Amino acid sequence: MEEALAPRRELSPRLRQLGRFRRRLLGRPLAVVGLVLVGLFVLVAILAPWISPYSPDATHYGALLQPPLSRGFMLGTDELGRDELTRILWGSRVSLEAGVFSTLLAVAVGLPVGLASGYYRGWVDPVVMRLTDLVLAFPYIIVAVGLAAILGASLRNVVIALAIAQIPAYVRIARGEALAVREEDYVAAAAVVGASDWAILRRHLLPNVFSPILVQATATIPAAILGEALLSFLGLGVQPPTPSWGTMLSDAQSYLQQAPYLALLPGIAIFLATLAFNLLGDGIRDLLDPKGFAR
Amino acid sequence: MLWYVLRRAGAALVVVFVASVVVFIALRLLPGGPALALTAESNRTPQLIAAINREYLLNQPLPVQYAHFVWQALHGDLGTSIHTDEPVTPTIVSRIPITGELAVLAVLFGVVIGIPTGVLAAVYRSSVWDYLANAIGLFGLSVPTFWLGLMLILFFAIRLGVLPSSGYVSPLQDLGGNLERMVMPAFVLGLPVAAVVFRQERSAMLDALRADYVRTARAKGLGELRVVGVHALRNSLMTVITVVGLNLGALLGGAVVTEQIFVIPGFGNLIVQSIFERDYPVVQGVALVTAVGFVVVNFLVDVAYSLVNPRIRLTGAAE
Repeated sequence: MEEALAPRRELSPRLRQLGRFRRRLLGRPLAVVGLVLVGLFVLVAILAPWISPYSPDATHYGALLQPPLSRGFMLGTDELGRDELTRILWGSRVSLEAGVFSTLLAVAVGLPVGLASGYYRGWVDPVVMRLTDLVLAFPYIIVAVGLAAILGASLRNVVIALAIAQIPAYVRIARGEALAVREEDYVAAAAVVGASDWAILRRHLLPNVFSPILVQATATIPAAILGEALLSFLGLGVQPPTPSWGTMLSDAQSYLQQAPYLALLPGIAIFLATLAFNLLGDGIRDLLDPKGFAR
Repeated sequence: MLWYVLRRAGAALVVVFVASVVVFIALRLLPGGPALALTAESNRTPQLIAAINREYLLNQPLPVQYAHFVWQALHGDLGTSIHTDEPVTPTIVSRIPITGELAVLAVLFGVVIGIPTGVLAAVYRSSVWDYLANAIGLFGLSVPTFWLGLMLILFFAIRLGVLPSSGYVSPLQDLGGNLERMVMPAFVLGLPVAAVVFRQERSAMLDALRADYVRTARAKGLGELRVVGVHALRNSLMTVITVVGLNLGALLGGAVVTEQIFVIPGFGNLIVQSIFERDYPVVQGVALVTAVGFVVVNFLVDVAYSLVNPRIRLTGAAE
């Protein structure tokens, strides 16, 4: 067994674990494809202003609804003569922001609330649980649609709406882990030797909750990317002229006959972005799920 | 057992109550009140606004409005639509069978496709078939349903002209026309279900095939078809049923989108439409019906599990 070999260099156990994790992940071709696609997606989102051929709002009235591969416009132009490639590249920014920020926000709220609720119990716990029940009583998309309608249509509000819809899942995961860990002997031992609650939370609860949260994040990021596209498609999300794949699709609906590529391209972009996170997520889940090791 | 059921029922009631309060309050926080939404800017007089506020009790204190709302709702009266002047309850009741049909067809599609492919993928693990089915499963999970719907319309309705692009006909009036219009929406809504069912069935089947009772069945000399088709399949189905139950919520969310694309006048369509029109009474009614529906379903699922699995009931760890 690999683990049995003495490491040549002295590495901290955590670093060694990380290295092992990386080697296992890289041993899965699909996960590698996902990782590469996610990397590409992030890179495009960061570099969009520099690699786009035009400005996203630049209109070319001499070249309306040009098909892909036409002169000067690799992926064609839309009904206002805006370059499709530029808008798809810029759209990745909105997508990534919505996906990543909503998940970060949901973790930032859900993790401490869940940990505290599970660790301290008391009267807070049932209140928190009923609140999560409440949000979970409505389908994710409907929560997001309702919140976006209340908050008003903007990218910031889309992020907030998607985050609120995700929070209950994180609260429950963190609470479940806290409930399980607080009964462990090593936590009781830590308390006996005088460790503070804060130290116990940091040293014993957080490491345990890390992998289920990571697994959940790989599921909520693509869901939030789809959610943003959907809200923008319905007119409840990012507002024109900001390029978003969802609004682009919604605009394309009116030109399905003349310019089907306008509906095709943003959809492929959304699909690839979601697929990338799903592939990477599958890989991570298989590695972190204890059952996965047995396979 | 009775104590457990009562406790779950109590929790469910609390959720319904809180949901009704939240829905009620949230709607009044929407930018632009109903009086503004109802009137054109040109003929908006203070008298008209006051009359509208009086008619819908919007000038009363919030607790009075809420008490009135709950009292009426308990009598099956969810108010009158601000937009169409029609009572809300019959509107909702008329929409539910449409979404119901769509959901049933989608689940049917998901199960009919998902279970056999999952079983085959598990039995012929690591074969070409397994990889292909996994790839299609991932596609089903990652493809945006609203985009898939547009592409289907583009191809089958606009290019080939073999299917109507949108609309709805009651199956009681014209069964053929109904199914013709339901094929694409049911496929779009059912594809993610098929993907989820496939993945669950595959992994449950892999677990089942490794289990002791399967080894015993093989040791008894049973044929492979019987071992897989009866012993392993039956056990793996439990997981799948759970997953389908858990996904009913996602299904309604998906129906909202699907009905929007294919212009189907179902419950999901009513949700979006009423939100856009700021039709307070309709949004209230729709949200309340959704919340009650899901709380009831979750309650029934919890009780059913506790009947099947006594451990849940003893520890109360249903969450």
